[in-house]
Amino acid sequence: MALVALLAVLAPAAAQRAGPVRLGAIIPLSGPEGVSGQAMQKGYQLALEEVNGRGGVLGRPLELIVEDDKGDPPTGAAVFQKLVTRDRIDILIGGLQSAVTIAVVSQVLRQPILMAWTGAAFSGIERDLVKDADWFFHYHPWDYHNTDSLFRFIKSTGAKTVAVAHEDGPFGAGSIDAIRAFARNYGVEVTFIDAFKSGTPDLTPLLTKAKGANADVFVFISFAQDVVPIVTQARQVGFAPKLMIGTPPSWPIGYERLAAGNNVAGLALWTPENRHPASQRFVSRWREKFREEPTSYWGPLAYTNVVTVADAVNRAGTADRAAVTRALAATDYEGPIGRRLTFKRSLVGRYQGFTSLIAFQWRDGKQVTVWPEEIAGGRLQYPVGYGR
Amino acid sequence: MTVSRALPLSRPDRLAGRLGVPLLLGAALAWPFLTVRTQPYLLQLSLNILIFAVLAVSWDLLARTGQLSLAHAAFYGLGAYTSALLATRLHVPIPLAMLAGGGLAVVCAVGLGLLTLRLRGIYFAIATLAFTETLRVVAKQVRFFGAATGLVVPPLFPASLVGQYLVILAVLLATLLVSWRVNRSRWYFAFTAIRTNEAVAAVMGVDVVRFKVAAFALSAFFAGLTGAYYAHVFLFINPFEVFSLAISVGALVAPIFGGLYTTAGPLLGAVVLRAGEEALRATIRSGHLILYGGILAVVVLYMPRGLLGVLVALRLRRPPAVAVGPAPPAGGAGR
Repeated sequence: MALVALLAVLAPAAAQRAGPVRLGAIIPLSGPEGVSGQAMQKGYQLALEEVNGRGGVLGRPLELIVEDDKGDPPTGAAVFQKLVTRDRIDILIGGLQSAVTIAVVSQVLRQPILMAWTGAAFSGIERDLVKDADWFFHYHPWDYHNTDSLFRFIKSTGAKTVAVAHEDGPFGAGSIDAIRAFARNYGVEVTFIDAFKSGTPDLTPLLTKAKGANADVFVFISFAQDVVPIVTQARQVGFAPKLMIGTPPSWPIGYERLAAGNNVAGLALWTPENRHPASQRFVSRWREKFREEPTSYWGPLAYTNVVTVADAVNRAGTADRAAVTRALAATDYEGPIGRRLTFKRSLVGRYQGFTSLIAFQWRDGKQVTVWPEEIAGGRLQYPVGYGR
Repeated sequence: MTVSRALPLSRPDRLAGRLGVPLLLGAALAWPFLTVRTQPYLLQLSLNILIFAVLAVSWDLLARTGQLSLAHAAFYGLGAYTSALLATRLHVPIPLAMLAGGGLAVVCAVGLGLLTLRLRGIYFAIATLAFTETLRVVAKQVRFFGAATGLVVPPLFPASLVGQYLVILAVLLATLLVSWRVNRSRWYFAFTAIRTNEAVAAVMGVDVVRFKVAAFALSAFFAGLTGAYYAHVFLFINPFEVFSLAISVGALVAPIFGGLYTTAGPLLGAVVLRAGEEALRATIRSGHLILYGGILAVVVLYMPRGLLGVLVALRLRRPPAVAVGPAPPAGGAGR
């Protein structure tokens, strides 16, 4: 306990209420999702520079305190307490993993604060914890939105049958029931479903079985580390469906140089090739500031998170929770994601932001948006005719 | 039979020892009331530290028989799932469900112990690891258990952080009491004999399997109870979180860091490691894990008896401040 008490000395002094408007973000800067969390942090930096460059909010600077949850629920709960009681934040933002989100929500239930949350796709959260809550704004689509987008895209290709391989953890296995239900609704027959352990080096037995199902489309729900083995080993076993679709949270670094990866499709909230002017401005600012390409949608989503919250505070004319809640609920924003963001009711939640994903196809190292048609940067190549 | 093995202490030391435990206990009890309004962050952090401390002290109970168990996550997960399922599916009151979680962990530990405790060293470690993995796969596959997606769990004392703290403090105190009693009873000699040379211990009449199973059961009970507590405080469990190898490894690192086969060592190790990690994270924003790993490596390499071993060695080296009575007998340090 004495050591814990020492932490009090190390901590920053209590915030001054008349100072900046404070946002607190809980994201994974380390741990398995650290890469996505770091992309979010960069998105925050861009947004903060922009907001403060325009004079901040309510004539005060906008300050952001970022805490690393390490992908660990107890750490998420502890840093929430730090942000609220020690840093005295006005609004909580951030969020990526569902388990951490639940631990944070368990604290917010006891200590209400406005939560403008970007991550967590597990719909059990809205069903069991934040149903009808007026303090929870959710930007990212829920798992059922993701599956709906997948099958609307498959349906748009004219495919009749689909084979699915999924990693056996919550990410892959969690959507299997929804896949069956949505396939039925969209009139697509699932001819094959099987699981694999993420990180397995040899997936040829699974891919050979999938090949035997002779489906039009092959969907793999995997993490980044499984993507290259899947697409290269599919060639080895001569598995050439009309289209391969991958849904990793982020694609592996260097995938753009993989010849076997060409013409594989993917689903995401955003791609760097998005042709919306706001998206192109975002990409060019990212390149200029960080001397690298933005690789995942977490960067622009985090940017959107800060910009819309700052805008809501400005419109509310105060950082008071009830007023900001009303202003945020009235958000109508078109930013780097390239689609309008408004908050509407979802199945049971009160404020849901994005509700669909877009589809892209890898072409010569670029993610060309191919669906929906109104924002497509190119036509889907279908059937692909993957070679050996 | 109760055996006294006190360190050779001068009167001021004995007084400090007598005062130390009540003072620490008083501080631990006062802590939530002092911090809940002004520093709830520290109080929340204390929950994490206490969970870790119970796991460390309970893991050490079995380690005293010389067995390196990687099944602590299995019992932790069993407790979490049992309590979560009883509370959500059968609406059993949460405290009873938590006790049932600990109870089922004991039943499984006895069964597993009877099957595997004749194995030693790496063979036993692999058997316990396999047990944990089996439970993880079962939890992942069975829909009733929430499968891979996991379960949302009802809360224990949803409105009271102090209440949550006091529950885990009570569990820790019970674990410490059991650990302390074990080290001051004939079980201590049985455990030590088994750890030192199992064959000789058996020849001397020690019922090796019975003592090992008893240690395994005690160790599992507290791990199961803590897993149940975790589920009802952080409200979500899935097979990947609660049957994680990281839990078993964390539970064994703290006793090694603090001092194996003792009551204070695992407690000290758990508190220093968790609080130290958080202090490093708060002060060194990037790269704190490198420093944390470096400190761990130094302690393991240069302090073979852990932090407690160093503290005891320093105290034995210090000349007594006041000479009282005849010279004390040597030995007994480090327990």
